[in-house]
Amino acid sequence: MARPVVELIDICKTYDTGATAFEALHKVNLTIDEGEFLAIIGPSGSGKSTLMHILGCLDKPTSGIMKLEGRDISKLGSNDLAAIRNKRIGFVFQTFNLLPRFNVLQNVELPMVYGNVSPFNRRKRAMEILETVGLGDRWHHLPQELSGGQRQRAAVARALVMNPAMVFADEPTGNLDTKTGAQIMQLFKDLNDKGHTIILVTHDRDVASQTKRQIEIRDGRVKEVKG
Amino acid sequence: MSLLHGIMVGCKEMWAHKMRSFLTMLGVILGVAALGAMFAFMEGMIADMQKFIRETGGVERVTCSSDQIPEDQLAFSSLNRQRRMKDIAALKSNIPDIDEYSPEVSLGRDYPVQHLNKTVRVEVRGVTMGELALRNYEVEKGRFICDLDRVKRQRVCVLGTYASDELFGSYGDPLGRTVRIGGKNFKVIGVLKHYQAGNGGFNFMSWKNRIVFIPLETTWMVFTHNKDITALDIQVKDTAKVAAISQLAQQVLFHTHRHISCLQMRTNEEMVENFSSRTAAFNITLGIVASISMLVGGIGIMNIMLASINERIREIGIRKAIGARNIDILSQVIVEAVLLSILGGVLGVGVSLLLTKFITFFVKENLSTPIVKPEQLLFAFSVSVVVGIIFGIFPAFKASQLDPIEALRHE
Ligand SMILES: Nc1ncnc2c1ncn2[C@@H]1O[C@H](COP(=O)(O)OP(=O)(O)O)[C@@H](O)[C@H]1O
Ligand SMILES: [Mg+2]
Repeated sequence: MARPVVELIDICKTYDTGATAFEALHKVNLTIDEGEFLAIIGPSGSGKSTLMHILGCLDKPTSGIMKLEGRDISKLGSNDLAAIRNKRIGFVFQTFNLLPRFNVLQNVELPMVYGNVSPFNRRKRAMEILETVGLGDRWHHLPQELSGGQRQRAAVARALVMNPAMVFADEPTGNLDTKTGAQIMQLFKDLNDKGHTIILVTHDRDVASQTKRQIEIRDGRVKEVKG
Repeated sequence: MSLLHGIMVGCKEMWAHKMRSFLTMLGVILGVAALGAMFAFMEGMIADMQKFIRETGGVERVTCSSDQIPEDQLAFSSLNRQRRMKDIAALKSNIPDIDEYSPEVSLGRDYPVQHLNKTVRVEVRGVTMGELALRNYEVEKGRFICDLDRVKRQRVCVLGTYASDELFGSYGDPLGRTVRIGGKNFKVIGVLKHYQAGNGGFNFMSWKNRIVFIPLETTWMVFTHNKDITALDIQVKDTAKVAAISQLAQQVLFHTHRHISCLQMRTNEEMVENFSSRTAAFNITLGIVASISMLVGGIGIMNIMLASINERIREIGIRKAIGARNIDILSQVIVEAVLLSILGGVLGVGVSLLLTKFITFFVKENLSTPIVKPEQLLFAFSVSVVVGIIFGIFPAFKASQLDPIEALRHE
C-alpha cells in the first residue's frame, strides 16, 4: 500500500481583484500517493498553476488543510516553506528557468547551496544526477550553449538533485518540438519507474495521456478523469 | 547560504556589467582616495608642526613678549622700565622651579656680517648659555658662548650654517677666523648644526640656520650701549608645571615693572592648542568632503543594486522556488553591494597613494611631506565597506520581500 505524499482537504484559493473576490480554487480534495505519475489538465485560466503553486508550497491556500507527508503545513512560516521547497519539492518550468551565468553543474548544485550540502558532496551528487538525465558530458556548458531538450534535462536534474518527495513540471514540453518533447516525457516515465512521484501540469491531452492518472480542473473544481 | 556562493554570484554580476560597476564604484573610489590623502597630509602637517614646536624649544619653553599697555595705564607708562637682568634676578630668587633662562638682545638684521668680500644679512643676537637649551640649538663645530666670554666682553661669535656657508663656503673651516659684524671684528668660535626639514628643495627650518650669536654683554658694550634685553625666555622641564609657573612669572614681572602690564608670558602649549584647533577645522572640512563623496558613492551603489535586482527578478523567483529563504536573498544582495564597495575601497586606497605622490610632486613649496599610515588607509577602506553594507540593506530588503510566484512570472 503506497503512502500519501500530499493530501488536500477542502482547499480554496480566492484572489482579491479589487471590488470582487475571484475564486480560483473551490473546495479541492485531492490525494497524491508516493510513486504516482499524475497529470493535471485543464484549459488556460482554469486554475492549474494556482493548484500547483499550493501543492508546491509556493503559495498558501485561503482555506482548507494541506498535509505534506502527513504534516499539516497550512500554518507554516515562509522560512519553513522555503526549507520544504528546498528538500521535498522539485520544480521543472516551461521556460527551463536556468540561471544564465551559471554552467549546468552550478545550476544543478544551486538547491544544495541552500540545503547546506558541502561543496564536495554537491559536486558528486550533481554529477551523479547529470549522468542520470544524460548530461554527464555537458556539465561545463552554459545554458545558452545547450539545445532546448538539454536545457530541460538540466532543469529536471536540478529538480531531482535534493531527492524530493515530488516533482512538479509545469508545461515541461510546451517550449519543445514534438520529438524532444517526447524524449523529455520518456525521461519522466523512466524517473517514475525508478520511484519518483511526478505531477505534470499541461493543457495538452496527448502529453497527459502518457501518465498513469489524470485529473481535470475546470473553473477551480477538480474532477478525476482516469486513475 | 554559503558566503562563497554569494561572492561568486557577485563577481559574475560585476564582470557581466564591467562599465556599470566601475562607474558605480567611482564615488567610493573618490571618497576613499580623498580620505586617505587627507590623512596622509594631516599626518605630515602634524609631524612638521610637532617638529617646529620641538625646534623652537618645545612645550617646556615660556616666552615673555611685550604686550600693549592698557589705556588706563598709558598716562604713566613712562614709569615703565625696559627688561633688564634685574627681571632675571627676581625670577631666579622667587621661582626656583625655573630650569633655564635666556635673556637675549636681538639686533635683527641691522648689522651686516662680512668676511673678505662676502656679506650676509642675518639676525645677530646677544645671548647666554641658556640659549642652547631654550631654542634647542646644537653646536656642530667648536664651542658655544660661555659665561667667561660674557664677563670678559669677548668679541667672539657662533655662526649658523647659513652665514658660515655663505661666508666661508669656498674658504674652508671658519673656526678661528675673523668676521666683521657691523664693522667690528669678531672671532668665530663655533658653528651650529644644520637644520633641514620639508619637501623637495624647500627647507622650512631655514630660519633656524640664519643666525649669528654673540655674548650678551658684548652686545651691550659694542652695539646697544645700554643694558636692555629684548627677549626673556624661561624653561620649565616639568611640563606639568609650565602653565602654573608661567602665571607666577607673569606676577613677578608685574612687580618688577611697577605694575604696568607691559609683558605677557606665553607658553608653547598655546601654540599647540592653536594648531590643534586649526587642524580640527581642517579635518572637519575634509571629513565633510569625504563623507559627501562616500554618500554619493553609497547612493550610487544602492541605485545600481536596485537596477540589478530589477533585472534579476526572475532569478530571485527561481532561487526562492528551489528553497532560498528571504534571509538568503537579503544576504546575497548585501554581499554583492559590499563586493562593489570593497573593490571601490581597494581602488580608492590605490588612488589615494597615487594622489599623495602626485600632489607632493607638483606642489613643492609650503607643503609638508605626507605621511602614509597603514592603519589610516585601513580605516578609509573600512568606511567603504560600511557604506556598502548600509546602502545595500534597502535593495536587499526589497529583493528578499519579492513574491516568488510573481517573480517567476516576471519577464
Ligand atoms: N495573483 C492573481 N491575482 C488575481 N487573479 C489571479 C492571480 N493568479 C491567477 N489568477 C486568476 O486565477 C485563475 C487561474 O489562474 P491559473 O491558475 O494561472 O490558470 P492556468 O494555470 O490553468 O492557466 C485565472 O483566471 C487567473 O486570472
Ligand atoms: Mg498556468
